[in-house]
Amino acid sequence: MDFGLFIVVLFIIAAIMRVDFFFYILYVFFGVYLFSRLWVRRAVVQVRVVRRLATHAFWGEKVPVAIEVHNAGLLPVPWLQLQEALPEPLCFPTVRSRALSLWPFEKSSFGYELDCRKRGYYAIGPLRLSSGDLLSVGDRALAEVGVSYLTVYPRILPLADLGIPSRSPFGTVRRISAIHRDPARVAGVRDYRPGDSLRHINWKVSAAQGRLQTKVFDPVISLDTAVFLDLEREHYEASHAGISSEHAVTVAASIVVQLARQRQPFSLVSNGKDPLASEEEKGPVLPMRTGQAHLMTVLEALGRIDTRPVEPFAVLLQRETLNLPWGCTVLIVTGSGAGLAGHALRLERSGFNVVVLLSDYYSDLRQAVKELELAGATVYRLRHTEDLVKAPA
Amino acid sequence: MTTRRPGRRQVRVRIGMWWRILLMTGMIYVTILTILDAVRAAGLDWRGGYLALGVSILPIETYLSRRMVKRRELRGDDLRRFQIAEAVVLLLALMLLRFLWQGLPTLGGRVERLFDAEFIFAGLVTLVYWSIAGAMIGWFEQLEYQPTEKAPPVTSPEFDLWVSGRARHVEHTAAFQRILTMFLGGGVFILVVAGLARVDPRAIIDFQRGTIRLLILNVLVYYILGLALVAEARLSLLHTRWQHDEVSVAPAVARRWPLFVAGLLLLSALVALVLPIDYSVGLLDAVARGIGLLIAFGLAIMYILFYLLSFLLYPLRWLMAQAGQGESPPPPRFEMPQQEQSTSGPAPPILDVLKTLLFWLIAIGIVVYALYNFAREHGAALNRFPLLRPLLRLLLAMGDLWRFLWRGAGRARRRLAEGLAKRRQAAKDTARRGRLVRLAGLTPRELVQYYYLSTVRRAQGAGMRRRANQTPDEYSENLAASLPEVGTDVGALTEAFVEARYSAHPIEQERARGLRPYWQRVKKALRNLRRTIAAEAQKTRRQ
Repeated sequence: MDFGLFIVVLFIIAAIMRVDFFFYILYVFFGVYLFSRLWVRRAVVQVRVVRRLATHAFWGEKVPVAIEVHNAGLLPVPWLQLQEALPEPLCFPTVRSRALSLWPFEKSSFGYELDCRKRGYYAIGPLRLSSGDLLSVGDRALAEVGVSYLTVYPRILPLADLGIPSRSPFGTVRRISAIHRDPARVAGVRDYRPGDSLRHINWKVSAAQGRLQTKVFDPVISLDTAVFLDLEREHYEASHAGISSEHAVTVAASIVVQLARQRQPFSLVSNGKDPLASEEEKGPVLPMRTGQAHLMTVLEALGRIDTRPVEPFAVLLQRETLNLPWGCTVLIVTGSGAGLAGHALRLERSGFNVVVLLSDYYSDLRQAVKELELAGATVYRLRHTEDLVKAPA
Repeated sequence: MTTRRPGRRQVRVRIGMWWRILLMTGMIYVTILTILDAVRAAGLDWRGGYLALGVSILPIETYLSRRMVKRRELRGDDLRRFQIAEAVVLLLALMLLRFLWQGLPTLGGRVERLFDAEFIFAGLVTLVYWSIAGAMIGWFEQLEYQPTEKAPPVTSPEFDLWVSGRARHVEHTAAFQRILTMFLGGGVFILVVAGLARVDPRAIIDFQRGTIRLLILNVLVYYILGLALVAEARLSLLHTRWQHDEVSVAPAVARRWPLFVAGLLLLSALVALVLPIDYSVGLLDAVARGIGLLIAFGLAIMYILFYLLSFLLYPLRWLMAQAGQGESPPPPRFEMPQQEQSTSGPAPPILDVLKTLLFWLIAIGIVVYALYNFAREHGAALNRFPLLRPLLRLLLAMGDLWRFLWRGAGRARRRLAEGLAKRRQAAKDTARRGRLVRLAGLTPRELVQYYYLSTVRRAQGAGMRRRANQTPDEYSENLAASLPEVGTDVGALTEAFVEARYSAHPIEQERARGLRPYWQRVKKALRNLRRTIAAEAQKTRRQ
């Protein structure tokens, strides 16, 4: 028997007996029945929920999330259950729930922390709200608060830990004949010769010596570095493809950080899927730039990137190297390097400085390394320390 | 052996259980009092106060005995033997209580006199209530979250046993439903018994009578305690679910629960106080009188309509009479038709009839609403009974109709609000436009601006709207092209406006006043243009 049927029975008894008190009881029960049904439905509509959290986080950071609940209506909410769905890599258990009660215009809040131990682009939520009445008369009232997004940047490791020489490994190459002069590296001054640029005249020294002096720069060329991140599944050993491709992302991020520290221009090209891109769009292609803002853009793209490829790496390499400036360093982060030797040779012959970083630790890559080196590429076999392997997947 | 101190949750459960036992005791007590009332109303002289006392301690006794059974882990035959012994002890205690209450009976050497009809009845009542109390306490225990429900770690050897075992399948919701059903069933029982105890059976079949004024405290107390018990059960059920789902629960939920329940009851009780609960006219009489009133009302309306018609036709009749050299007819006289007096006695006062009809309307509305929701929630189950299907369809159709009307009313309300808002806005605009401006009160700059803006407004009225991207000069060119006779005047007004609007230097009074003839000429030309356009439009319509 439920309340509805009971009210009908109560009416029948009251109508037969015709005792006014019985009708009063009928009204009271109907009031309980009706208000219970209407109350919760109305009350939940007036509950406002706000989720506050940072939109970006570095690897290893703990991000506090605050859920603020405000009953903006005149009706109290007897009970309200909030159930937040969370991404597994950041939080366990993956559901955070809270039951609370709100007076009219009361505010309440609760929070939790996300442990950012895996890079990625995560949806936080949705937050499901459910409420009901006091006597289980009516249905449950449900509502949902949308998702927020959090981008966790990839892990940054010192290059030495990855088995890469950390002192100027690529990008800046000392040459005997200067292709370009680097105005940032002044070697000294000499007498002015006709044809020298007026911008290179050292006016202070010229004034002191009484004749025009031109700055002499180091015979150095500063090469742009294009980082190509290969996430094609076939280029990684099948049973460890997940770990190895994640490792490749970490390596790419560590390298761009190093390049940014050295104030060198760099770009990022990958065949991984950006979750924010449309279905038709290819992987991220970020232009050659310098600076902190550019670094953060690249790290954000690397944080978001999905390890499922959207196009073959060879196609991407072929297409994107066409637009690179001559003399640029093409730095390829890949798994096994299979099938790359031909491309490396082409790039070397086109005047690029080719560096290949192999992140697949579990395969025998001696043949691939040999081929790449024969093609003129500098090859680094990346180190998988125990620490890296044990890092949460 | 280490002794575990009870946690907060266990303490809450224990306190909760004693509170529930107290509520159950109260409910059982008032039920027994109602039964005793009914027995007394049946004319039996029975001093049965001992039964109320004895039965009301049953929940405590049952709770303690269940704890003993659990502690001793009694099962199967042991349990059955224990329960039989318990029942016998209870009956003996009842007998002892009876002797204490009524004094020792005169047996005359015949022991069988102890087991008279009164004792058999009291014993049966005791046993029934004993089993009810046991069931209720069992259901309340079932409501609580059992430690055995918690899953052991997947890697532990107990996990397989847990998965295949019955421990994890505790039916909390079913237990709650049983408690609710027991309360509502008891409510029906106490209402019927209390009604039969107070209302003469002959009065039940007298459909001419109104309601009887009665306040039955037993029933009131039963429902208050029962609702509190159900609310407590509901809170327990929610707590169990939350524990199951590992939800952290704010302490305020349990703390505020009784307040919310009390508030809900109070609100319902107050609303019920406003609604009519008594009536003095029998239902059949009221319906007959109501129908009679409706017919009389309809007739009155028709009579008024006929009277108005004859009043309108009176000049025609008068003219026709004059033309025919006949006697002028008298003007129609307004006389309401007299109602026939009822032969069955004097009619009840209209107010009483209306009150009765309102009362039944509310009562039937309540029933229809409750039935509709019941049908909506249990439609699938009710569909299995062919006899109920038409009723179900009717209720659902009524619900659909109600929703349709409600939505329609909502739409109409929205449209009306929008229409009113539009009209208010239009009225404001008109007032703003038609507002008389005292030109003498304007500063020279304002006057210059007024001349130009007034020209623009009037030109718009004549169909020459200024586009948002048009500069004053561009617009002036358009206007001059349409009104070549005042082209220079428009140019002068525009030039002065641009100066007044965008310059910082003061505008001289003379210059502003000097624009008036230009403005008047343009105004006149625009008026003529408007008239010409209106005349052409009229001509086109005629053609």
